Amino acid sequence: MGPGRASGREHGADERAERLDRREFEAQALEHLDAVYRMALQLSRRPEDAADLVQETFLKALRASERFEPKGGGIRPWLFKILRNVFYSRVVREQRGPAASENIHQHASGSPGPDESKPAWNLASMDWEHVDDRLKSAINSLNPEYREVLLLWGVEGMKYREIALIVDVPIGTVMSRLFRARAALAQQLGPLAAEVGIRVEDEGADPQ
Amino acid sequence: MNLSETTNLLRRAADEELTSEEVQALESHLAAHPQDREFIAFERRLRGAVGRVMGDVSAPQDVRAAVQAQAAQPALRLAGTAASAPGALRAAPRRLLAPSGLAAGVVLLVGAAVVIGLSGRADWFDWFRAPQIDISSEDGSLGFPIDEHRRCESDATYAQKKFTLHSREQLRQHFADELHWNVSLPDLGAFGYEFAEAGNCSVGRGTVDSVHLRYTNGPSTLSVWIEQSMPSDLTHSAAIVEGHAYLVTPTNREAARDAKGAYYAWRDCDFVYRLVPASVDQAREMAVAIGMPDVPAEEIH
Repeated sequence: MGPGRASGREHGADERAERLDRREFEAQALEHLDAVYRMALQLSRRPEDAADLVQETFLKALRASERFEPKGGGIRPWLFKILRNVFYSRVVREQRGPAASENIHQHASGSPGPDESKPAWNLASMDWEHVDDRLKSAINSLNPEYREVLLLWGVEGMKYREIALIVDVPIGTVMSRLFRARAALAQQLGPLAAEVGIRVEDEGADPQ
Repeated sequence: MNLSETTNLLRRAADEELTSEEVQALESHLAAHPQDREFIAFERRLRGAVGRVMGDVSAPQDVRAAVQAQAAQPALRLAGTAASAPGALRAAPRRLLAPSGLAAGVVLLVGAAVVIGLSGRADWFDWFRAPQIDISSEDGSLGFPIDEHRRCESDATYAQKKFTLHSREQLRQHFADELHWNVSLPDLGAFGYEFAEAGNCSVGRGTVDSVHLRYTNGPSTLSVWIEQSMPSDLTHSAAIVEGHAYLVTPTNREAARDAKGAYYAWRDCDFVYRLVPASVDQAREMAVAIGMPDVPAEEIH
């Protein structure tokens, strides 16, 4: 190909040391199986599809374990990124078919993205046990791109930086999607707040 | 701060994502608007509620068992240890390897530097699914496209000496009349890149083995490499099956000291393309224009 052919044939111990041992990688990856399955279920909405996604995700991750860089943000974001790519590859592939895309994207066009409105009430003292069903419904009604970010934030406890890495968008986009999703949830929880006696404040109570 | 900025500040405060400067701004704001502490509390509770109502899902036992069985497969075990064997191929793409007779051929190498302001985004491309090859984890020449691109960027004297062709027409004549290589020149005008210069390369056999093309878009540059008739032990092209994309990762000791990143490689008929992207997004942008195939690994055989 060109100049610079290396003459050495030794494999650097320091190189190996920078990478996780194979078994250690497996163990760490499997710790996130539930999280990967949760996200797979959110993406696919069908347990059987989620199971396939999870298996393919781990297969690819284990095969590519040598590529994993511990300094790159950890195994979990890496697994999520693989999962997303596996899922959206399937979407793209099935979109080429006549009927598959509608099933996969049935939620994509179902509801518009949330707007930038902010909650106009004081919900800090809300009894959250009362809102679970409503909240779950509100989350499920979000567009996938918002729901995905919201779940990585709320369920997986990820930082903006990690989410950006997984979703492959700038951090600013993550924040924008996340804030709009939260605003939409707060909006939908408003009527419930009134039902359970939470004081709904006027615009003046918005964050200044 | 306007209302939107304040709301964002409070949400990021709830998420513990503020910088030290922003923490000071927050404290000042809360001193003036103590009621907004409730907003932060609400946002934290909302996060907890989202986690509670959506997080109560575990992988079924059969899924867990299947994944654990995958991890125990001998092929995957081999994949995890292949890098320690000099010159070995990783097991993952083993089924993708071409017969050894693919040594000869024209190789088109593409090296990309920073790309700014790309337009005309290509269809989504699954780079992450590119089957990975590590043809020779010990071989320093794997990092050559990246090294050479960097050198031409940083060493103007070297670049001036190397690049002797300064127009597309000159280059076309060079391929047709001097090298007799029947190659297509990438047209990257849609991405704002214009051909700038090109020069020959050789591995010291007294013949031109490759031609290095540079494209520019303002301060950004893009390198295209075209190679021909290289022995397989020098080009590694034997492992690249037509119509599929591979990720080539230099992992030798030199790369361990100086991370070179990775580049993508694919073959189209007698051509092998190699793309060194500055980012995944960049690779996606350039994929269609360069001709990188979008074929998942599962469809290869």
